[in-house]
Amino acid sequence: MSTEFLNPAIDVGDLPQVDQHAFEPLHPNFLRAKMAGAALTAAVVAAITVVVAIFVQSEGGRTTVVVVAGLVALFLVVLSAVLQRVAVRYMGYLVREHDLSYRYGVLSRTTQTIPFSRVQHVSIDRGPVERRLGLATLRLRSAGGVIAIAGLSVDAATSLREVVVARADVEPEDFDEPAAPGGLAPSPPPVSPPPIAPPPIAPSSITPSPITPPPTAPSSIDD
Amino acid sequence: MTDLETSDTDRAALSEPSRQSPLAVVFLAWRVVRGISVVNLIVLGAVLTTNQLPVSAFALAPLVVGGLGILGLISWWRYTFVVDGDELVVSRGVVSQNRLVIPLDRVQSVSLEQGLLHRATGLTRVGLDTAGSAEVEFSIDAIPLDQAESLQRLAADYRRRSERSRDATVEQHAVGSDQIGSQEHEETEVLVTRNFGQLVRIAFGHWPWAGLVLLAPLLAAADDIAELIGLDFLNRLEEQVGGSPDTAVPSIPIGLIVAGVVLAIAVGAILSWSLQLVRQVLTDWDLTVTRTGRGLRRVAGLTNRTSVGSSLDRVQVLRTSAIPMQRWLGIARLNMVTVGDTNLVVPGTTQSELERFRELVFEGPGPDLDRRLSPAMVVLAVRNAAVVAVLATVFLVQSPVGWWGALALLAVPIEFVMARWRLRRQRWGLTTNRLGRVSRFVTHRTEEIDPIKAQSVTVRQSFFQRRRDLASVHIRAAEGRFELPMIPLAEATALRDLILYRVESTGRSWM
Repeated sequence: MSTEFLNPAIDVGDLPQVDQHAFEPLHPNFLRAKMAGAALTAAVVAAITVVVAIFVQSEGGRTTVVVVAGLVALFLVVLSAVLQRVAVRYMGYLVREHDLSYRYGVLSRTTQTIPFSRVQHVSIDRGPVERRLGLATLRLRSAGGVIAIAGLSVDAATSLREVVVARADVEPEDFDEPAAPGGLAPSPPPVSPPPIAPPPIAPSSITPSPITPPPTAPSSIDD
Repeated sequence: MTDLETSDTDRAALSEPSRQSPLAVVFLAWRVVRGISVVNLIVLGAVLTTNQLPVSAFALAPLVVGGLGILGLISWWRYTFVVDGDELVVSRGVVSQNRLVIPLDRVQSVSLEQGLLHRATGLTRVGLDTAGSAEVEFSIDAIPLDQAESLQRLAADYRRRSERSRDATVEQHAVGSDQIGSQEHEETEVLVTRNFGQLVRIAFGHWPWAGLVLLAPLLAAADDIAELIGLDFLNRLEEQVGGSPDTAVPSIPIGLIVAGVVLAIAVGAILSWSLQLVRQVLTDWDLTVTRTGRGLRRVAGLTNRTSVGSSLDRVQVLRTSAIPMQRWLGIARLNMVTVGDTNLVVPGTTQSELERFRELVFEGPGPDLDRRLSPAMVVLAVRNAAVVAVLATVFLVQSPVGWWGALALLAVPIEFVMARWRLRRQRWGLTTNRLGRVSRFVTHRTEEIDPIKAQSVTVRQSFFQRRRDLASVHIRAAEGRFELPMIPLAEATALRDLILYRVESTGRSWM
C-alpha cells in the first residue's frame, strides 16, 4: 500500500494565481445606495446644527462653536462618503473554477477566498433598501466562517449561487429559494482558470493538471 | 473478533428501545433545576434567608422535592433510545414528545464521562457531537458502560465506512490513501500514559501562580476569611493610624519586611503548586492516550473519568506550548484542536511523544522553519509604543509626578529591544503537507496545520503594510486558525495560491 514517500518543493510561480485575474465590480446601485446614505446623514447633521444654533442664539449664546462643530461633523461625513466611494470601487469578487474570492477595504485591504468544496450553506438576503435598488447580498457559509458579498445585482447573486451549488458539497435543503433557470447570467462571467502547469510534484501525491472537480455530493454508506 | 462481528454485537446491544438506568432520574431532575437558571435560584435563596417568609412556606419544600422527583421520573420514562437501521433515534420530552433522529455516520464523536456516582454503579454519561451544517449536541445521562461503548464503536464504524466510500468515489489516487489504509488496523497502540510521578512534574511545570487561580472565587469573601483566621491586622493597623494620627506606629525593620515578602512568595508558590497538583491529579489521573483503528482516545480523571475520542482527520491544528519550567523538565503541553467542543490536550508531552503525534496527524516530515517575519514588525511595535509613551508622558508631566513622568519614554527603547528579540525568535516554514510556525519567546509555542484543513484563506494588508509591500495571511480551519502576521506581499499571495491549490486538488476531506 505504502509507496516511497516523496516531498519535493513546489514552484509556486507555476500555480494559478488569484491576483492575475480581474475582479468583477459590484452593481453601480450599491454605490448609489451608499452615497444616498451619506447624503441622508449629512442632511441630518446639517439640520441638527441649524436647530442647535437657533436654540443657542435664542438663549443669547455664541453660535460660532456650534457652527464649527457642525462643519467638522459635515466634513467627516463627506470624508467618509469619499472613502466609501473608493471602497466600493475597490470591492469586487472573482469566481474561478474551484473557488470564490472577495476583496474589500479602503486603507487596509483584504482578499478572502473560499474554495467551493468548503461551502456548506449558501443564502441570498435582500433587505428593504436592497429590494428597492435591485440588489442582493450573497452569503457563503463554511465550517470556518462566512463570506458575505453585498451589492450584487439579483441576477448576479442568483447565478453565483447556482455556480456555488453546482460545485459545492451543499445540501439542497439549505436553500431558501428554488433554483433559477438559465444557469449563468452574463454579469458574473466565471473566469476559467488556466490549466495548472504541472508543478514538479510526485505524481502519486497530488493530482496532475487539470484539477479533478471536487465532490458534488456526499456519498452515502449505501454506495 | 472481526470488524463485522463487533459491529453486529454492538448493534444487537442497541437494537431494542432502551431506557437509561433509573439512576438517571437524579440527573434528569438536576437538569430541571438547572433549567430554572442559577439567577432564579440565587433570588430564591436570598428570599429564603431573609426570613421574611412564614414558616409554613418551608412546608412546601417536600412538595418541591417530590415534584422534581416525579418530573425526573416522567423524563426518565419517556426518554428512550434505539439504533434503528443506520440511525440513532432518541425520543424524549415530558409534555410533548420530541423525536431526534441522528444518522450514525454524522456522529462525529461519542465521549464517555463517569462521575463518582457513575463509577460506583458501573454507568456512564454519553456525549454525542454531530458537527455539520446543523450542529446537534446532546448527552445521555446514565447508561451501562458496555452499552455506551457499543454505541461509541458503532458510530465510529459508520463514520469510517462513510469516509472510505466517499474517498473511494472522489479520487483514486488521493493523498490520503495511506491514512485510509492505516485505519484498517485494529490494534490499539498506547501513545501516552501518565503516572503519579509524571503528574507531579506536570504540576510543577506551571507558573508558580497558576494554582492560586483556583482560589480566585475566595477573593470575594477575602475580608470575612481574613477576620476568621485572624489576619485582619492590616485593617486594624489602618484603623489605628486613621483613628489617631498622633499615635506613633512602631517602625518595622527593613530586614523583617524583606524576609516577610520572601516567605510570602515561598508559601504562595508552595500553596499554588500543591493546588495545581491536586487539580492535575483530579483531572489527569491515570491519563492514557491510545490510538485505535478509529482514531485517538484520551481517558483520564480520578473522580470524574472522561473518555474523549476523535478520528485523526478531525484534528485541525496542532499546537504546543512550553514555559521555561516545562522546558527545564523537558516537557510541553500539546493541544490538538479538533472539530467540536473538546480538544485533545496532552499535558507533559515529551519530544518523542510529540513526534509520534505529529507523524499520526500529518503526513511526511515537517517543514524547515527557516522563514522569518518582516523586520517591519519592530518598526510597528516601536511606533505604537512611542505613541502610547508620548501620550503617557504628556499626561504624567502635568500630574504631581512632574518631570519624572518623562521616564515613561523609556518604554520605547525597551519595546525596541523586546520587539527585536521577539522577531529574531519567530520562524515559519511550509511543505506541501504542513505549514508551521514557531515562536521562542518566554513561552515557546509551535503551531502546525495541514493546508487542506483551510476553510478560507485571507490576505490582508493594513495601511502600514501597504506602504511596505507586506501582508498578513489568515487561514481559518473549522476549529482554530493559523496566522502569519507580517510577510512580504509576494510571499503571502504565493502562500495563498499554494494553499488553495492544495485544498482544490486533493480528494481528502478536511474532516
